Amino acid sequence: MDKSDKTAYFNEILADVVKSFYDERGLGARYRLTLVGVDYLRNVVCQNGNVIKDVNDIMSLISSFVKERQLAEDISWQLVDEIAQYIKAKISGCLHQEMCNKLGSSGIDVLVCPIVNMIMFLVESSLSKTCEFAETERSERHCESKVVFFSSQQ
Amino acid sequence: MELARAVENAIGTRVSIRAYRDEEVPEEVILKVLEAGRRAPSGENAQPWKFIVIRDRVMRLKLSEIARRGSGRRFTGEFVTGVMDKRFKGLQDEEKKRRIYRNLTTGSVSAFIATAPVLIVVIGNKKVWDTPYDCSAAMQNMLLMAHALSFGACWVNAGTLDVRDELKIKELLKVPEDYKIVSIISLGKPKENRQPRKRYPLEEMVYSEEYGNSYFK
Repeated sequence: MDKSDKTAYFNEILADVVKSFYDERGLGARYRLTLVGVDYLRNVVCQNGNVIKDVNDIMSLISSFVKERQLAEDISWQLVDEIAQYIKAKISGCLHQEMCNKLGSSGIDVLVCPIVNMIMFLVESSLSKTCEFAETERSERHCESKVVFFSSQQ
Repeated sequence: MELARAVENAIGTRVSIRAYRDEEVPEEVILKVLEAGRRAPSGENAQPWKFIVIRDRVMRLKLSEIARRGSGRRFTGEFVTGVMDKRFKGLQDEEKKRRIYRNLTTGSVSAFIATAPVLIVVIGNKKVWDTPYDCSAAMQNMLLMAHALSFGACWVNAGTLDVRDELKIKELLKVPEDYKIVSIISLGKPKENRQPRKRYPLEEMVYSEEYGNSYFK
């Protein structure tokens, strides 16, 4: 089995697991999946002693991490401060695209994004802000996700 | 028949109470509420529940803060994505809408648990098939018993819905790995007098023999 077949297999299995979770728990399933991917990040990033001062540091770190490990081809982002503060992250060529495609074909919106979870983990652990994976708009090749901040002092 | 009437009355008049008088909850009330939970049905009679009774003010504040942040975070997400506008599109009173939005997006809607004299944290054994269902049966028994004893209670998921928050509470309360935090019940003498919220009509939810075949002709 070559690498792309293996990726297709794992994404198929992952989609089945996430769907089972959704079938069991409905929309509440997404709140049980917010740590998926965090251990993978934590085991590497936290050992490297990275200094994080702000959101841009976090997104730069995630972008490098994700590209080095070929989890996605590219991440771009904006920090938006309108009605609330949030990151708008555009992830292109994600390794899990097929999982999301399969779930999408069953009418299930993105319930879990390991990369978004990694972003949320670093925001919480480094900036003392808690955040929420608010929504994702998906297309064939990329996802645009909103990660909304809720300040501890709010 | 008297029993049936009493049960019907308890179920029909129970409301979720989120404002409490600054009075202690007597031990016998707590024990009766816990006993009601203990008597719930469970798959294989596994009885996977355990209950942690919290009276300590500092701990209640910590749990309240976790609940507040969980709620506030989720509702801020709904606000940013426009879901909240859709939910309240029928509400014409703009001032009321602003107040509700603020209550939700700041998480204040869930912070009330700090003011409940007692919190009962319901945990469930994961090494059992039906833990969430079993523990939910226990919780409903407990809510009804509290109400029957003229106390107010509320089933609070705000601090336990997201696994990130659940793990914080587990650490605070030293809950072992084999157990999950199912939910929290706040308990106290009610400070508010509320009516039960509207329910959908029975006709909309019952089918005969298969889905779609209305039971009520």
